Amino acid sequence: MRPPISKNEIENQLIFDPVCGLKIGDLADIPRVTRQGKKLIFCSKTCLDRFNENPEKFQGEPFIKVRGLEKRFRLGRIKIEVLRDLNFNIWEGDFVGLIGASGSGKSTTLNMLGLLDRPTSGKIFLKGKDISSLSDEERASLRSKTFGFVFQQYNLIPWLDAYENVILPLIFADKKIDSEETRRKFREINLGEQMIHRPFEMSGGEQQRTAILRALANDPEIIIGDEPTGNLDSETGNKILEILIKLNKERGKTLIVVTHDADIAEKANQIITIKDGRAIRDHQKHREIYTE
Amino acid sequence: MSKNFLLLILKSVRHRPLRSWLTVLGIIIGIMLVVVIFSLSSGIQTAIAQTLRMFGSDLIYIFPGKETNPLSSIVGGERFREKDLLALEKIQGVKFVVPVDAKTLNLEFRGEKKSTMIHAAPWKKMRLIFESSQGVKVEKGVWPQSEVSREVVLGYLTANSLFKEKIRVGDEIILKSSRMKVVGIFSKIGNQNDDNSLFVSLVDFREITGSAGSAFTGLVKVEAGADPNLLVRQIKAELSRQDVVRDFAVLSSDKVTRLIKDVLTIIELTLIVISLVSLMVGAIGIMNTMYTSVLERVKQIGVMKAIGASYDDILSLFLIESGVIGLAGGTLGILLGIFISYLIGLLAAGFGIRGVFSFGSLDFMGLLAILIVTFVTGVIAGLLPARQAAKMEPAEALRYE
Repeated sequence: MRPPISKNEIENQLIFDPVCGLKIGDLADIPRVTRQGKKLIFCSKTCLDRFNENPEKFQGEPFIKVRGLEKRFRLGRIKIEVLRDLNFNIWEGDFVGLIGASGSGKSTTLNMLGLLDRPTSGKIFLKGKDISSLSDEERASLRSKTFGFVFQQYNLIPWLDAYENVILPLIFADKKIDSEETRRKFREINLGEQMIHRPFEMSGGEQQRTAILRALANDPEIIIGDEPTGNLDSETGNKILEILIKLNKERGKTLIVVTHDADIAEKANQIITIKDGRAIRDHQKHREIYTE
Repeated sequence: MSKNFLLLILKSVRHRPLRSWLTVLGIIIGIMLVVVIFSLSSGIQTAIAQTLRMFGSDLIYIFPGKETNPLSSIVGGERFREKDLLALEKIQGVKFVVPVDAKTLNLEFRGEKKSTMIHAAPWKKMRLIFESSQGVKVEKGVWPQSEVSREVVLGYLTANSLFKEKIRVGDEIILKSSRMKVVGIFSKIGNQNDDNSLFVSLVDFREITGSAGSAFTGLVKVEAGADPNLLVRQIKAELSRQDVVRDFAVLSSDKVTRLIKDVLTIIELTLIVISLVSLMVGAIGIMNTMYTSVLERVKQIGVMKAIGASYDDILSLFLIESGVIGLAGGTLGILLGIFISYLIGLLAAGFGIRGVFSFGSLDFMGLLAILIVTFVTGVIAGLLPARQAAKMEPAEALRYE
């Protein structure tokens, strides 16, 4: 029989949910407490469920750990506080949905995670290493090796054809280009003929598939999507989502997606809800947000 | 830097809007001027050097126009009276004076017409000057014996290459509707101007052109042992008595050489200053177009940074691109410069002055240096915009609309 948990014991414990990384005080529901060996685990119900499903996965350092992240902008004389004390964890191989209202700070969060922007304060750890204060060169190198980006507006370079867009990350990484392998990948996603087309000669879906190939060029561990289906009709959007989920499930890529789309959030392992610059809830299923 | 990176840059240069290219007009004009100056000046200098070699050291030249600006005599149109020039023969130390006239006239041979420079002087004196001071001989045929015989002697190139068919001694030619007989052909003199000329007696020249009793220039043959500089002063004093040509130049062959070189140097320097200014205007144009280009491509810069481009990658991308634009301006400028020099060469040949431009005389190392300069100018002009692009935060660039 487990010994009872004393008040003193609780006060000396972690203030962060060790699974999802949210501050205990930020959790929407009352934290559940469980004991693992000598350690007490304080979790939201959702996180506790995830923990109980696979306790081994949540041992040690999270893949990405965000602590006390803040971002302030200045627009003329107006100061805008986009992120305030943002905390969460992401575990390797997960599909994470970042949701929230417009202006809540989810895209800013994504930019920080992908090293596209610097936080005003706070830290981001990748595999235990602080990546929030790296030099520009180190950030560029890490972006090149570790992250693959898929944007809402595809963001292919307009003066290059699809093939050239896909090999661009390899050029910047000064890697050898295997043109036959790249062609094979184009054929795999049914873009064999569109390879020589420039972006304006392609449909939205074709451009986004090309953008996914580009994101995968350097075989990154993390794929970051900023509303990747936001500009597509639902059928094409679903196909794109299928490709991304397949990459997550079959190739173990950690997938972090900002979305407004309930269907995408539905498929994620972890959902981080951001409101007024804080992660307020952590849900396993999107539907719970609406049912609570 | 990989081959693919360079290809990427070339591809982005190729898709620049037309207005980016128009801003390199400054570079094109500047380089065109430099090329025209250098390709023509070497031809002109060669032609002048050959001409100067011809100037015997025992000759003094008299031109209308100020000494400081002998070129004005060409356009001034003032002419000496023959008797004023001949009056100089009484000065001690002057062996004789040759009144010389010249004009570009139409020359016809077997139905083919060309404009050619005609030189006219009394035959006997001309022969003495040519043979004793300049070492030029009649290679084929003879010198004309009479001043009124309507006979001509041709320069080497006039006889051999001006017309489709070679002109031979004994042939007839038509000089401004007057039939003349070719009695002699000079050996190669070595300067294009004289080799492409036709020589007639002053009497015949006056009949053909209607100019009576006047001459364009005078040549003074100096007695052996006389001091040319002293004679120059005496001739000036004597000539200032006449009132037909108010400004005139009396030059020893040394001074002619120096003057022509000075004038050429001034022209060259002026054109070089103009071309440097154009180059600067071009550089500002490139800077402007690169700033515009950075603004136009803010989003793409953000994308490239997001997919792994470093500060150095973006900097190189824009620097090489602006260098390539400079280089393109330089290349176009060189081509245009060569083309214009070629046209000027053709035009000069039409006036009987040949050899002003030839492809063989182009200084290829100089052209290579120009290309390097334009590339470097482009790179320098692109430095500030490229740094601006490279320093952009990717997220900020991606937000830009």
